[in-house]
Amino acid sequence: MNEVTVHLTVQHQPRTMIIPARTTLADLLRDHLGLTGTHLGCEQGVCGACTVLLDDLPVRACLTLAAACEGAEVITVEGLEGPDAERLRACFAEQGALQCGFCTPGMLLAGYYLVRGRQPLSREEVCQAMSGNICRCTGYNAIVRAIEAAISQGIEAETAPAQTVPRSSGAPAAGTEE
Amino acid sequence: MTTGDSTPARRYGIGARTPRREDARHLAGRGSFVSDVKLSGLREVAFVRSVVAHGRITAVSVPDDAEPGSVWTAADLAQLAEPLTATSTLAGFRAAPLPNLAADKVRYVGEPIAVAIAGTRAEAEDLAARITVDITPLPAVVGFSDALAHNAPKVHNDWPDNIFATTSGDVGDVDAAAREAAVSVTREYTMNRQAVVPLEGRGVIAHYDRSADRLSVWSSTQTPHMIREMIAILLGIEARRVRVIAPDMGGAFGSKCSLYPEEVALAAIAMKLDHPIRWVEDRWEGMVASTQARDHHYLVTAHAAADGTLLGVEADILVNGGAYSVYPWTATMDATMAAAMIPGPYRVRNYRFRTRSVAANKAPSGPYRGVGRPGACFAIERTIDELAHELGLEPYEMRLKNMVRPDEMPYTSVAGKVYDSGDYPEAVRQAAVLIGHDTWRKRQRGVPTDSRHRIGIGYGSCTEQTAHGCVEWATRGLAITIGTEGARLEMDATGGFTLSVGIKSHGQGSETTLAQVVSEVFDVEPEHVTVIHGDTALTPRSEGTFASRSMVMAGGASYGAARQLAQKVKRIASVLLDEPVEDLRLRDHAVVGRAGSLGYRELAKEFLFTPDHVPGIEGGLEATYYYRPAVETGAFSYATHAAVVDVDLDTGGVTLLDYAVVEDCGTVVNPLIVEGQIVGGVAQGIGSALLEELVYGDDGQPKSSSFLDYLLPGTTEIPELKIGHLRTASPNTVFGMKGTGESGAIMPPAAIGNAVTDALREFGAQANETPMTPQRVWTALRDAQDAMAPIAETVS
Amino acid sequence: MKPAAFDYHRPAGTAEAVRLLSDLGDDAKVIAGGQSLLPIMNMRLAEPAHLVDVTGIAELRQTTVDASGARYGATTTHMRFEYQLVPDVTGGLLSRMAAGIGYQAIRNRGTVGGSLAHSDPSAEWPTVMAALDAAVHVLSVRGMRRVPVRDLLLGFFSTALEPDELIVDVEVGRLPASTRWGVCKTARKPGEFAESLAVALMEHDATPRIRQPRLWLGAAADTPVRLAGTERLVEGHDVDAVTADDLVVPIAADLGADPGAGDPAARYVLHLHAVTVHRALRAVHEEVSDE
Repeated sequence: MNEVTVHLTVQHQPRTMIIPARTTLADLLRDHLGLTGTHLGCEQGVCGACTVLLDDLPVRACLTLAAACEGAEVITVEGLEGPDAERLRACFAEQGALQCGFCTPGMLLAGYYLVRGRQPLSREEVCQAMSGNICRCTGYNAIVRAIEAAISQGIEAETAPAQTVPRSSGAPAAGTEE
Repeated sequence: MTTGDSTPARRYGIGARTPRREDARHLAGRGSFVSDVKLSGLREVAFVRSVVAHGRITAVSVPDDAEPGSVWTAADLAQLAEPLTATSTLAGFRAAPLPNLAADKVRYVGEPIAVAIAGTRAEAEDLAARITVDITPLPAVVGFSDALAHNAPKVHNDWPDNIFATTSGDVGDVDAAAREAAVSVTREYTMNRQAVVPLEGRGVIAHYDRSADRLSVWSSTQTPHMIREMIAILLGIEARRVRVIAPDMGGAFGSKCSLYPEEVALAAIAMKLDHPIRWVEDRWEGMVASTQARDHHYLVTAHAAADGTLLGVEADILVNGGAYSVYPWTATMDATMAAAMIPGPYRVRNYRFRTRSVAANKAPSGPYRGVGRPGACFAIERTIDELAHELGLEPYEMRLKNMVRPDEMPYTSVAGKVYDSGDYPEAVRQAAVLIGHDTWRKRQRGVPTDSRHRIGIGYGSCTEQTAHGCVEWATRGLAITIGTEGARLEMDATGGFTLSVGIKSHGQGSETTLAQVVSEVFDVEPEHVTVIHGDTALTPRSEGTFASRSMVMAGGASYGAARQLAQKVKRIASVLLDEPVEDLRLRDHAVVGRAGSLGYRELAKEFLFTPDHVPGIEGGLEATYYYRPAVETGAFSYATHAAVVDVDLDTGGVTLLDYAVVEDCGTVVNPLIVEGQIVGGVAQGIGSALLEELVYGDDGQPKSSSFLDYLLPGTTEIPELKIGHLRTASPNTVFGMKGTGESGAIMPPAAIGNAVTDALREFGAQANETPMTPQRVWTALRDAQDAMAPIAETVS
Repeated sequence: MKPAAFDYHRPAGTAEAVRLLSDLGDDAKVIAGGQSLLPIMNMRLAEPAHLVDVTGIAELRQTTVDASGARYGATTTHMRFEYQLVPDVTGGLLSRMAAGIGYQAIRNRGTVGGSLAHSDPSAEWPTVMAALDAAVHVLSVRGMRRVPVRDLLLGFFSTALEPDELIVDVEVGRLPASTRWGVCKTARKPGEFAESLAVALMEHDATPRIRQPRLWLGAAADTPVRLAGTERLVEGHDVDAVTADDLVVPIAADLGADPGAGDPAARYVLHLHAVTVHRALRAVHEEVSDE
């Protein structure tokens, strides 16, 4: 059969979906769950507009089969919550880090991952970490500034000493160990 | 980093760094783009497209088991919609109908041939894959030499050659200038073909509602009103039956301001169906079937006196327009703009040019940010540097010497463009300071000769005609002469404002900046103004968003409507406050008189709920205004960009070390948004300069039709820009605004090309072709060294 | 741009996986991270009738290490190499190579076994695993066999794997303390596939001398190429005495290319390979002199 059943958690809500096997995670979110904040810019894995968090790691929803997400936890832009997400959004607005808004969900999720890492990053490191997300409007300066600012604010807001991960410019924060 | 912006901080109104009204929904993932629209019964479309660049269609076979109404070919569509034909008033212009679906011949890879409709996009693609198309290939016309060859195959059989149109001009006495000149240089430049690449591709939904007798078309379009009228005309129905809605758009940059076959085809088919249909362009389609850009070639000769005075310029300009003329711009749009902008911001009085717009088996060219100017700027600015080099001048001194001075404004250029205002030389001076010219020169001289790196500094200057009116479009042969915009402003019974404009904001933040115009007149925060745009049923007729015109034109219309409504509000208040209109001011949500004041909320409630309380005032609390500037030659933005590059002599790789912009877009409505336009434009210009190229094989096959092989600038390619501002209000526009949507994208190829050439001066290599890929730079270097080698041997 | 329909199988273990592969024959394709397969499926350049998804198989994620080296489970992601969440038995070479693959989001899903099975000569793993003389352990219903990576890679998208075989793990020998490495990837942008990719291994002798070099070049042919002739040429020379230009002719010979080709693109490509190999050699030397 072309159909598969997949159990996954989306924005912390468990779901059981019966879908055509060829459904990508992006299409599952958009067409089956109505979460159209995940955008498709190329479906070739390059532009990053479809970036979502899969078990806490940013991945390309266009290059991930929904069926392969059995048991996984998915967070999309619509479900991106908490102080880090809010300070990142505020920095985006303040710096002018979005224009048309199409790349923005992917930028936020990729940027959120860096903010949550609680590691000070140089401009160059932020640029490297964000090099897989294409924006055609802003020319990136404002995006990079916004992420830098949100990283600093996140570190400042931390009361407990930051937990460090080796070489952690974008190192996985949680939940990836076997 | 920004310097020189002396605008005092304002909370709102013109000049305020107002946060964008658009941000909240996009940051929450709640934007609604065409692909996000939810409609009951919606089915999805996949197009069958030509995989052959040039050929004769011999058969289109539909699977026997296809459901009725699920497959549509040219034969089906022929009775439903006329093909689109863009015409021009240019002498000798050759028109060619642009088929909605190809019938007998295909002329580029990606040309639509058939429509497949199914429940999902995947299923529509399954069906499309089962439609077979037989095509007998014909030799393809790809490059300029193919197209212009004596026995070239013809893209359009009934044409005598492959030229859409030729234009020419000869002003002053170029030959005398040549005789007088101390130095003349001739150079060839190529700006290769590019994709426009808004991150959201095109998308169309069409639905015919039988009960309302209305065809609704959602389209990711910059020009909803124009699309509406053309769809009606091509379908042979009255436009009153057609509504076009442009929802949120993921950028456009010019690629969504032509009428497309997909829009006409879906509209025509929807009239025959009882459910809505949607097509969402995928990336391959975006790379092969959206309008493309640039593809220019220049042969430029310039003459200068020993002191650097520019005496005359000659330009022979070729533009490859692809297979068809798009509506309404035609394939001559780039060439006519390029010819007009070759003289640049300079006081040259002798100018001769010829342009030829050439047809080839590539996707049709259309507008792209800068239209013609990036190529023209690259050609003239590279040439200015070549002259400066020959004369031993610093290139920026050459510019200072020849630029139109502020005391000469308004200045009619040798190409007949009326530069309205500004201090062009000051932009150059400030750019040199901002980039740290002397420091970089010192560092450049300090690079050891055995280093495998070189540093170069380059400048690019340009003027940008924005928001031009009817007369300007007419001179370029456009069949529709664009030049008016409408706005309607209403105050509701709660004292809130709704501004309706027919332009379409697709990323540039017009919901914010136009609200700021209302805010300026009524002294309210922009949060109290809803801006409706992109829906023909809700907005006054409009021409659309393109040519850096929206803020000036729709802003002008919004200002006119706001002033009219303000006048009426004052008249109402005059009755209610019993004070003369002349004594009333609009302050902080209220009409304020000498004795009393009346909040907008109370005023609106009184006037709309109980008009009998306000005797003598005609009904309605709204105003509609159509703006058509008195001077139609446009408001000219200008800028100078300065780039510093590192060239890796081993790989030919170019890295930007520093980049500065000094620009003047007149009165700034919102600095946040203007900066966004500049930086975003520069990033696209850097893409043109270094990365982006649509490569076509000799057979017309696109070789860079995905993001895997068409490289876009990313975070690592764009340095933090230094931006300086000059502020010269245009005498021709409301508030003195000048458009600035395109400016940033125009100069980077010129500035970077000059910087790369500057870096390689000791080797005699030049960067005369974009994108300046490592291979091109290295090859230019090697060729120059090969050419110098025998000479060096002779000398030693 | 949506994949053609296929049947999807999610085996719980390797035995079930290879039984499925055996039953389904040529029509089946193994999918691990899918970061190379999904783009071509989305574009319908690949239309497998069956996908066997091995990402749910725990044993394929296991890594075992001993004194001789490591066996990395086939579905170990690039990210786990990058951040050394699996032990790196090559003194950082694997981590360094992994960090250059695509973008962060790609590295979070793409796998080492998937990359080797895909056999794209401009990708990182084929070249570095060939240079390290790594081997894959391959399972089918007929049993397990060990295939050196140098024998595995047959061409562009072509390997010595039978249609019913599954890469279980990648065996990488521990790099002796005396062996140093240097790499250079030349690409137009971060995240892009390499235009040239060089891995240099050599013995450390505290001088700038090149000793026992092993040079491998990716993105130059349809499989990674050992530059045996170039190795002989540079052996024993001071690294500072070797220029990129010196390497053009021997690299051309190793690649079977014509160093005097008039075609500007071919000439550039050859030159770029020489520059890339030269930089990889210098990178070894720089690592050494840093100590």
